[in-house]
Amino acid sequence: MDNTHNNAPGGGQDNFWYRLTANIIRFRWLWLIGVIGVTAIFFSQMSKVRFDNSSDIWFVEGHSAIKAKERFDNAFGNAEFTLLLFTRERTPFTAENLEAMSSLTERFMETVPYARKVTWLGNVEQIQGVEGREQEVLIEDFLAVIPETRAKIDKRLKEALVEPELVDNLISRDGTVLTMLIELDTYPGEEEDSNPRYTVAEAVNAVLAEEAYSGLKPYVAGSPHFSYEYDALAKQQTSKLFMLIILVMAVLLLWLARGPRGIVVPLLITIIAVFWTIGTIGAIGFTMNLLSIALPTMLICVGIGDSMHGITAFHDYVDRGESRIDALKKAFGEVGGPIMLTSLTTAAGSLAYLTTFVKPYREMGVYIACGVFYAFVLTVILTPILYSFGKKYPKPSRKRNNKESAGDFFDRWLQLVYRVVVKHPRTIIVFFSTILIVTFWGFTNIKVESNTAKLVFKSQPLRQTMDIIDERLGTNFSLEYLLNTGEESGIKDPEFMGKLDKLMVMAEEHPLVTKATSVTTVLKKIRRALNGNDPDFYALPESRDALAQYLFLYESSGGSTLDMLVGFTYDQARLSLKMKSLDTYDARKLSDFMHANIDTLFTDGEVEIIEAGGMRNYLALNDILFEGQRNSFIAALSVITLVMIIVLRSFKLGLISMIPNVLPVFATMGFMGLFGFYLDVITISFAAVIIGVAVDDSIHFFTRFKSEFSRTGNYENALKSTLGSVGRPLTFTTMILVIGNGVFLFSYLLGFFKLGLLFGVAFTWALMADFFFASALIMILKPLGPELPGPASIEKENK
Amino acid sequence: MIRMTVSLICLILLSAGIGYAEPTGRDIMVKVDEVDNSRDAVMSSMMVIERGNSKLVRRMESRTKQYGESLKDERTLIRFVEPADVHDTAYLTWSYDDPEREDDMWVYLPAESLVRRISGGGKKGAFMRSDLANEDIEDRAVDDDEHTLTGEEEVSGVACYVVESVPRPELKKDTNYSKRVQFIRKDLYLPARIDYYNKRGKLLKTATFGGYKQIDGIWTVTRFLYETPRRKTRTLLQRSNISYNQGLGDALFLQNNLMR
Repeated sequence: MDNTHNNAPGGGQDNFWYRLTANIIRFRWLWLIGVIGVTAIFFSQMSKVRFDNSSDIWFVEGHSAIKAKERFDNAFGNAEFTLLLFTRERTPFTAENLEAMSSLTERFMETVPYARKVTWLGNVEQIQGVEGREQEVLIEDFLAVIPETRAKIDKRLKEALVEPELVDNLISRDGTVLTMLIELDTYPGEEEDSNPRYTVAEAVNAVLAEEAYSGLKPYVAGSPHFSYEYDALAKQQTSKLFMLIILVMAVLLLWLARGPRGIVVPLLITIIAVFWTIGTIGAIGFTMNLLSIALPTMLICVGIGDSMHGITAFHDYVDRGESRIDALKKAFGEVGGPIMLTSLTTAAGSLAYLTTFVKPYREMGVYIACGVFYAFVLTVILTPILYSFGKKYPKPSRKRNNKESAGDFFDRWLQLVYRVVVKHPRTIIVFFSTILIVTFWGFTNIKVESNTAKLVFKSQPLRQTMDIIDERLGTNFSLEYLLNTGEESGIKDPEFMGKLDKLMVMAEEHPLVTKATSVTTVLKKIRRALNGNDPDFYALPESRDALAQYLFLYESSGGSTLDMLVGFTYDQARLSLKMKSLDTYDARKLSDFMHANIDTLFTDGEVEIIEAGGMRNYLALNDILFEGQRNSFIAALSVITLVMIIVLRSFKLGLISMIPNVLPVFATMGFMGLFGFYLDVITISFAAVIIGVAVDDSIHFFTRFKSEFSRTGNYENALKSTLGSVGRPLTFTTMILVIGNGVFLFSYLLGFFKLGLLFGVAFTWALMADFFFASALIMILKPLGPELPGPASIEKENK
Repeated sequence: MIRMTVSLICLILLSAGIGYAEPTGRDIMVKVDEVDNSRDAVMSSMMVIERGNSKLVRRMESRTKQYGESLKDERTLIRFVEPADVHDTAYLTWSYDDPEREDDMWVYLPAESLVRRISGGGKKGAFMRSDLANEDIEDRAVDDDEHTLTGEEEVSGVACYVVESVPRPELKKDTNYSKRVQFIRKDLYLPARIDYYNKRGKLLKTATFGGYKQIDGIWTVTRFLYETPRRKTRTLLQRSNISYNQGLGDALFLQNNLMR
């Protein structure tokens, strides 16, 4: 395979990039100081970066899911809580342990900021009629005194299992788990406590570490802890993946690049680009989130290509006997334009996420665009500077300079590609077209699973806690309804209460619902207690006054529970459903079931009903994710197609060039749709990134092909020279992307693990599509017009 | 001789010291407890509970009569007037000075024509969704807390003792507070302000007192404002039509007569 730079127009002797490089080398110390200065500024901003894993990170401001949550918090106070789970196997239910739990409640109240109330089986108030004395009602803690013997404890726990409002709430229905609920006051403003969830989680952990409670070993759940531990996991993951990617890149570069400088320079440039990006995030006050774990890894994968192309071109000129400085100027005169173009298209692919309503995607889009731009700027400045030091005439490579040899492994691979394409273009086209059509159909059938709870691998304590809640309590998910009558005391209407109760009973009978709670349960229970525990009285009071008076009785016996169930002025009521983790399909079915019942019960439209809660958010997330991935995909596709048409100055060639860019998207995501695999919140989002990155290959490939064709006037020869020149760096960068993203396989987060796999497959397809599919299409369609009679064509005819 | 003189001087100084000694926290609280020495009392109360822009209004009439040898036991009948749907709902409580003895309580719900004795029940809950907890309303025995005089301070231009009241350890479970800081007017031995601290030692809420009136010879607070800044809520309690020592009959405070 010949070295095609021989006849290439000497790297644009006098273009902008050539002159810029000359300037950079001439004033290299000034430029260097500039870069160091800017780096110092960004470095100082890095500490400002905040990590945001609140449950509503997914939604952009003004989304109905956020509005619904605000309505709820306004009406019923802070919905966040901390939940401790004591399992029989880890914390035997001995008198000693129960005493410890009892004193734990007090300790939490004394130390955990914002704790409003701590409830467990020991101190939960029970209202009931007194056996034998019809005129008396007893309000008492369930375990007013902790029983002394194991047998008595077990007996009492068994009694708890017949109390519906205790089961699946403070005790699991099999009696093996006890829980403790720390309810929280509304958090203060940001100026008083920048991260109240951390404050709560840290205080709870500190108490549990105290000697008196160290034997309890509870599992801890609830938003404050999940957020705290997710963040810790994410931070640890970010740095772990970051170190790993640098190691992997160093090893790859050791193999692919020439000499130690070939390792240090690309790594240095991309690492600085990562710092600049994170500094930018801090400076503009954006936040990092679960998705941002991927940022450093992706930036290094995407950014390293820039310097690789620059350095490869530099070595090509050195091999041709140019001096160090001239080689640098010519190399960057030649690759400056294409690098800028590929950076722009990758940035455009990322910015396509601005068309979505998924907040982390939007932010991630901006971050990647930013990072890619920085990597480009730093490549153009730092590569010439760092390569400008040293001997005037660097040693050319012996092996590649020897034109007679068959070359190394990569040269042989590229020769194989050429032969296959020229011999079997039609077979190739049929093969790839079939894949394209079938996977496109699969792509339209993609299903999304937005249950973020299960993103973590099972080995993580975080996940184990969630699984215990799921398996033993079945209350991982919540679906909430706010029923607003719009008038003071509106809910004291017996008709309204009757409907609310009916809705609750219907919900509770649904097989997917573990538990349904509303104020009607409380009313029925009080009424029964006031009527000698007679089960006939387990019904709602019939008149408005009676309703009001029972509510009043409940109100005067302790209002905080009431605040969670009815609005302050009795204008609104709440219905809470708890269930196991559901997949999207079941969740939607349940939501539809509730809507149907609401529509039949509340026909007059006088009651405003708002749906909220974890499950509602997750359904809403599902919708915006689906829409988001479609929008970003279409946006990236349109912008990049336009860019390709303009760059190649050929409509036909531009369209053909997009085939290798969409194929990897279909071949991976469509494949999953085809076989019914779900895409999760992380994997669904990367169609636009795949296009943005895949298009880099196409730009290098097609621009080179076009210039080779105009030089040789012959399709086959143009293909041969194209593969001979850019084929090698394209293979390199693809390997870097595939192996580099492979570090995600070491992530604890299932989504990133899958992402690592998907990226690997996608970028391999991207290269294959460029080399085989696009080449074969060009051979058949001849998009650049008829071949020109020339030495090459004549040579071909003679064959 | 010298020794005698010294002793005498010592004695004089000591007795003077005793004579002008600062009262202890407990002394002050005993005096506060003694301000209302009525045998019985009748009054109307109105409570306005505000949370953001919404407010609830509660109106009630109450009668109280003292019992026991030292008139330290108390029977109270509260009948609600407003809101209309709870009109005539009533609570009757018999509370005892003996800390060992639990209060008795009966409730009457007119819509169901039903009277029930209620035993047990926490004191920590909010009183009718207001800023007052049930424990704030109850007649609290002086020795339920340890009182320490920590200083003197002016509140709204009036000189006050500052008394820190910390619940006795065995009562800690039944209270929301780690301590209360009471500003007691030196002239009337009535509170001017009480700061309530939660279990974490942070200021939870503040009660401000006003409308001091001498009625039937007894100095009485007629306006209370409770504020809980973190929850952005406040409750105004206003008493009116107060009269003391009307010779209320005992029958009024029997559960049989709740359903009148």
